[in-house]
Amino acid sequence: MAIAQRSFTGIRRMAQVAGAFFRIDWIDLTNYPLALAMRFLNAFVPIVTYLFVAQLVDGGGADVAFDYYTFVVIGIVAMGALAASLNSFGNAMLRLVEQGQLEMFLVEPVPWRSLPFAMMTMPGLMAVVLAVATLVASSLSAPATTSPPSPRRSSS
Amino acid sequence: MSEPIVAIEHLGKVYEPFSRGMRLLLRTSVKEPVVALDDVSLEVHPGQIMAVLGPNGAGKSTLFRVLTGLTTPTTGRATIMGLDATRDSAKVRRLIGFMPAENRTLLLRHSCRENLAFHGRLQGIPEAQLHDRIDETLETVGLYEARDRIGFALSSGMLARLMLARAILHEPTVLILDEPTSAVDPLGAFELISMIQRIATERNLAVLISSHRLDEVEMLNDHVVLLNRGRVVYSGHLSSMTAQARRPRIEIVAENESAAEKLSSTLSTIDGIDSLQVEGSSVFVATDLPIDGIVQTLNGYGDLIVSIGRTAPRLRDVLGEMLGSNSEAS
Repeated sequence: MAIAQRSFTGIRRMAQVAGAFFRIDWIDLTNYPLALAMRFLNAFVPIVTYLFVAQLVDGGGADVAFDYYTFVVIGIVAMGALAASLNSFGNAMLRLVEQGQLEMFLVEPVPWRSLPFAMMTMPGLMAVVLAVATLVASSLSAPATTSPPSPRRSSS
Repeated sequence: MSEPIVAIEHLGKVYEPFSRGMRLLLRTSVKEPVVALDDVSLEVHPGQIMAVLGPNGAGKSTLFRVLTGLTTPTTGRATIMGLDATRDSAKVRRLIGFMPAENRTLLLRHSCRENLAFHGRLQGIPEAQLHDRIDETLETVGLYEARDRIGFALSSGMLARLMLARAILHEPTVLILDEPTSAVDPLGAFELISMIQRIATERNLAVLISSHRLDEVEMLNDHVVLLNRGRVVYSGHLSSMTAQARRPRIEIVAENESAAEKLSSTLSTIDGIDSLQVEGSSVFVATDLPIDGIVQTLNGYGDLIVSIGRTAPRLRDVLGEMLGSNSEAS
């Protein structure tokens, strides 16, 4: 019972810390709307580029152009998610060290193990939002039908 | 006397060079063990303001780092309200309000309220109380009118007050202030120190403050601990420190600078004079000799002298004397 109570308190405290970071990051995000818009635009640049390439190749008679495009979009989304999960914490730590704020966070009565999780809340959410937006944008921009799969060559 | 809130017993800290493995991960300039603190003992009681003095590298910041749980001592122990600063670090950090020297530890793109709300949430203040507490704290430090201004729009003095507000927001029992006035103009520094004194008295806080501004230390006129190369050179009340260290000092005001030089060279021939210092048209003499003897020696120079009298030696000289004798001893 006591262990359950302690775990619950620990989770609640972790959520409170994550909430504090989320709120401050949210204010940061919404206070600079142009920077936010550019971030979204930046995410769509590869989609537009590969869409253009797919249309060009499709116009040349290749029937796999939009299959290729689908794979590229999935790759872009997967890479974005991977990069966000690998880099966000490192980048956040680097920023805190450079700004001299890390020690201040460590002096706060915060469980230190909750800091990485808390600092990742907003970057993680942003990565998810960007991934979903990328998928939606790519599915809206691609033609409704894709070419049927090519028959496999028989080895015999 | 009341029980001490902060008790430090035989505290020692040696920074060891990193192992080869760690050097792959982190950069360090420590090649040999560095003794930052050596057998430091002191106590801070409720309502007491203890000024931690010493030259750069004396161990002041390491002492604060141990108390805030940022580093562990090599020997000895530090306790706050009976809790070990290393073992019970999480609980101890709830009792401490820390104000670092640099104002870039604030979120400068955010307003005063947003800064305090963020730290209030990290400090675990319930949401229902948070906003009232923020307004009260901003009122206490005189920043209520500027509550919605962002950090970049505040002066250095206001930023220092915001850092003080952040340190007292969660109502700690100990305040640790690392050079709180380093970026503030003299008038702003005076106001900030008065504010710290008022808050410490009203809330009965134990305060540890480091500063290189000796006029502030004189203004606080409370307990002092003087560190040099990690060791305590003096610990006690400022008044007893000055009484203990200060030698009788005589100030001779000459007509002009060249007259002061002439008087100084005449005085340098007398036995029993410990030091002679010429500052502008004044000559300061440190000696145990009676003032009559000095007057007699300068008998033939009456036309060069404006006045002769005893002066209160400055804290700077006292510290110089104490640190100098400590360096010679070691």
